[in-house]
Amino acid sequence: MQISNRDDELNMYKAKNSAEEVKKHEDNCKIKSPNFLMERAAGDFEGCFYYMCNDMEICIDRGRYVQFYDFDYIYDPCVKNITPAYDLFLNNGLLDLNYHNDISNDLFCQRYNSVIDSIEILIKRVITELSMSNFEEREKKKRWFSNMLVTSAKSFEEALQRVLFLEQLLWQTGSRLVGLGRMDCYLRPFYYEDIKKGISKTEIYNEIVEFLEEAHNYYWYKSDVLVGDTGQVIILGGIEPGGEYVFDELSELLLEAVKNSKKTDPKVVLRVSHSMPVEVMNKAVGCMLMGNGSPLLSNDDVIIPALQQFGIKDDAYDYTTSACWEPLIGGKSSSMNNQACLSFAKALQNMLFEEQLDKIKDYSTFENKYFKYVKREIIRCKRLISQRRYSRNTLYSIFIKGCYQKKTDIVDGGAEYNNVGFTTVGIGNTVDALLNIKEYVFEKKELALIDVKKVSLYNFVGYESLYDKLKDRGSFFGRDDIEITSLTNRIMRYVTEETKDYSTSAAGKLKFGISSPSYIFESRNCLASFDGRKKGEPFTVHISNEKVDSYTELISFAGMIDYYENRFNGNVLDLIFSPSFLEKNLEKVSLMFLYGIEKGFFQLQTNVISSAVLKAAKDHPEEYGNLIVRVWGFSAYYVQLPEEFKDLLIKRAMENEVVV
Amino acid sequence: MCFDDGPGIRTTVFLQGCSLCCPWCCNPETQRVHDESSCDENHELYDLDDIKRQLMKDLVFWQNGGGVTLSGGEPLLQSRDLRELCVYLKELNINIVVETSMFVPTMNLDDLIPFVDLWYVDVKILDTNMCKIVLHGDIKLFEKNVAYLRSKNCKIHFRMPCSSEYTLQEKNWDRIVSFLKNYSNYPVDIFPIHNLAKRKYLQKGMKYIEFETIQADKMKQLCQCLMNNGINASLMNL
Amino acid sequence: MDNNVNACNKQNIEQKHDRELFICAVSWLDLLEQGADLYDYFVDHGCKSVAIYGAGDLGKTLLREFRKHEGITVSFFLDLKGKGQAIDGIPVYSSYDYATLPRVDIVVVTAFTYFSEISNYLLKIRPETPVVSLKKIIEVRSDEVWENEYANQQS
Repeated sequence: MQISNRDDELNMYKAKNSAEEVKKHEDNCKIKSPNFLMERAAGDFEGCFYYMCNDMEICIDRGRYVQFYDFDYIYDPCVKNITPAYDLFLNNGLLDLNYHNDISNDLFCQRYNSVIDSIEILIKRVITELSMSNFEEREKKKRWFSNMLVTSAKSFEEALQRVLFLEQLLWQTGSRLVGLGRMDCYLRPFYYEDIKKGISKTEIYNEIVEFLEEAHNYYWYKSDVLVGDTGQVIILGGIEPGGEYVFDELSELLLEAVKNSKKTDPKVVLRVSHSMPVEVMNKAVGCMLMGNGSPLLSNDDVIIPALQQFGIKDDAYDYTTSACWEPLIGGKSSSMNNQACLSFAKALQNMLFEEQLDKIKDYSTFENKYFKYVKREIIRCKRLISQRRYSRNTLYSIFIKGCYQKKTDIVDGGAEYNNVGFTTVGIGNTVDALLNIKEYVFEKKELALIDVKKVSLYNFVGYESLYDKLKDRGSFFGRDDIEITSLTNRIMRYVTEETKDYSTSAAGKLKFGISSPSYIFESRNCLASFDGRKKGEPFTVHISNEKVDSYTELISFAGMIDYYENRFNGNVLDLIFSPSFLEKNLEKVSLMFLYGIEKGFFQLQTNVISSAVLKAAKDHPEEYGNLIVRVWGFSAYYVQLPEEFKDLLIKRAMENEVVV
Repeated sequence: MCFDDGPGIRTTVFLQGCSLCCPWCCNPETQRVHDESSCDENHELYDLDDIKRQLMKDLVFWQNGGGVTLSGGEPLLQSRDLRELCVYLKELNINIVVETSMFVPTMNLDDLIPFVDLWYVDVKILDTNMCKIVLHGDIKLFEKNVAYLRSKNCKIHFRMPCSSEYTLQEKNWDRIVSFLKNYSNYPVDIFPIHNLAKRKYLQKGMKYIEFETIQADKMKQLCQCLMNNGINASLMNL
Repeated sequence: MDNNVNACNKQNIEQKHDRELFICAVSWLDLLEQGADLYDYFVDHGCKSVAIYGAGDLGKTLLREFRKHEGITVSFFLDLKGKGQAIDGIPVYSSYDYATLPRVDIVVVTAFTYFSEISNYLLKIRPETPVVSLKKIIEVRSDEVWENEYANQQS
């Protein structure tokens, strides 16, 4: 049966159902935002934004903060993985951000001012709604919103409301993975002002807690690829340009609030340094023990020099991260840091299937040829990046520094920094495979290269004993051995060699790292590899410990990797701890991390899990709704993950429990 | 790397070869002496320079009292070679711990006494006959060696694995209590034998006897019993 | 019902392959327009002799590319149906005869829809001889030419 149009459909519905249900159905079918949708279809950001501000529903509830989403007014997904300049909004009235001179000749400036006009409309509507409500604190909230237009925030609480409001506007306009930036930094003046005024730390702590709750709301809408992948990261602590490590009582309150939140979102990245106090590291490890995946440790002693060598001078001290871990300069950068993914394993597979293997007589020839195939993947990434086009985002352009001065939209290179990042996957598997090939084929000569190809082709069928042998020997990648680290560095430096001269249309440079969210997605079509990985099995997760029996060795390994030039787009040590082990050894683990900073690891995150609990949760999801795990670079509710992610975590937890 | 074998963060050197054959041994691959077939690919034969080089990678982690733990196998069977390693480590002021069963010639102790900061001494089967039959060890030697360490003012820390099949047999338990009474100033950790190494045994085609796991309550009782006898005992969580 | 599902799947697969074929053809055209062709791939891989799987239009076009250069011999075509014929002097054999045919340095598969089945079959007989799809060669060459172009623009 064919239904030609909506009227027919409705008539049919009427014929079958009661009047009440018909009414409900009619309401459902009514398009609430026709003007908005029309502008959206035309791709007109400012038009859409105007209708959004003018028409969207404003819901005011009893909460401490005002936050309202209207899912009938969502703009198309666009800019991703960027942190706006919250300080700009906290320290200025919105109207101060306008172009005040004659802008009749400049389209960007006109669009820019029109978006500010629209926000003004929305703010005024919020004030009206507040006037009509009868909540106790409505006068205070009205003042917050009227201040937003003309002056800086006047208190810590008001500052948090502004952060929430700006974030909400960005999410509502389709931006994804909006970071929260260095909260302790941009909130610091408001905090000490309030303390001076006599407001208690407990009160401020409560303000933070309720802010975090509001930010956690709608996490299902904010999630990107998987539920939980929201990118709402708070950056805490860090080295100041004078070299001093700063983690003050505000940083502590924020960390404490996240620790006690028992929620996936927001997450914390803690910037660390060898000069940080032991107590701060103890607090961080204490937070990890709570099992919500925070904080990720980010080593300033490696990252800041790497950023500076890359050409980012003083601003390097102000780095934040993208959704997961990729360093960028928050509020000044358009770096979408996950623009392509290079698979080292795919390059090796291509090589095995395209080369005339019998002509390769020694390992160094083999490795050099392999690099040619890596180059092919690099070109593919570069081309993909050059083809990326984003529709303009005037809202983000207001809150990213540089766009105003350059009078250029963020997607056209208006930001101060426009470097682009890509990720890589499978380096662990590839390093292992290359070393195995070197040993079995070229040194011991037990196998021919053609066997390596057959292993891929037949998924180890006919090579069962080899499979057992490869499985049994564990992983090379992650061992602190000069041959292994130098091979890893050779591969990474090769990628630098082939990417360092590339420049994007916005004069941005390329950067990459060896951590990627794609260890499952990219592995699905990859045949068996010579590290003992069968067809379709996931790649190694970042630099991880379950196949290396010593945490210190793994940390030392991470310290031997060269992250300079452009190799700093996220390189994470991913450590699994069993809860009982971590609880018993809290202080020793904390010391180990501190010494690890000296050794020079790049970043470090932990999964505090036991395989028994994960298995139970997989079987009885209804009882484990609050169980949180760390997946690539975010925290997620375990039971909401796809099965293959659950299984991988169980497998890793089990391997970890056997090894340690 | 290990967090349990002594103060701070420690790096443990497992030495090949042991004169005993404890049924619960968790590193069975280290039992045999001078038999290359027992060294699988993960356990290569190292020379001293290799060991030094490997150890030095962890140097940074030994701040705050951490250091090297010599374990096995029975490390004291190779005391001559270890002496050289210890001299080297002590020049760098690194904390050294030895885990030993004490069934070794007494002269071997002399090699290491000047360097070792802490001796973990296993207390297992002290009944003369059982000791001979189960462990193939001479209990006189054990007692003599421990007394010798004490006479040299060494820091000793006893460790006692508990299994109802062996160490907790009444005859043996009485011997243990009377032995430890002589050392009431020295700390004693007691812990139940665990079945962690089962996978290892099966992998290597060795026979594995499953142990009855002793309940926490029973362990508390045992600990209390030792304390009532004036022994400085405590329960160790594994 | 099952038949319907199968037919539907088959249709989906064919549609997907049609789309890929189209994109591929455009890339190839684009390459030719820029004065580049697929030949360099074979030089880079040290191939002296080539077999082409699929004696259809794509196979014939590929043969013409080889004819523009010297140094690489197209030894034969493989095709399920084409036994006993010849194209432009090159013999066409049944793929079932692959084992008895002289060795070549590479087999290029021009058939789109069943590449993995064909490749698995040929590799089973001669694992040492690479089997590569025309699609991949076009992609690789297209990327390489793009890279040169981009580098020139920047400098």
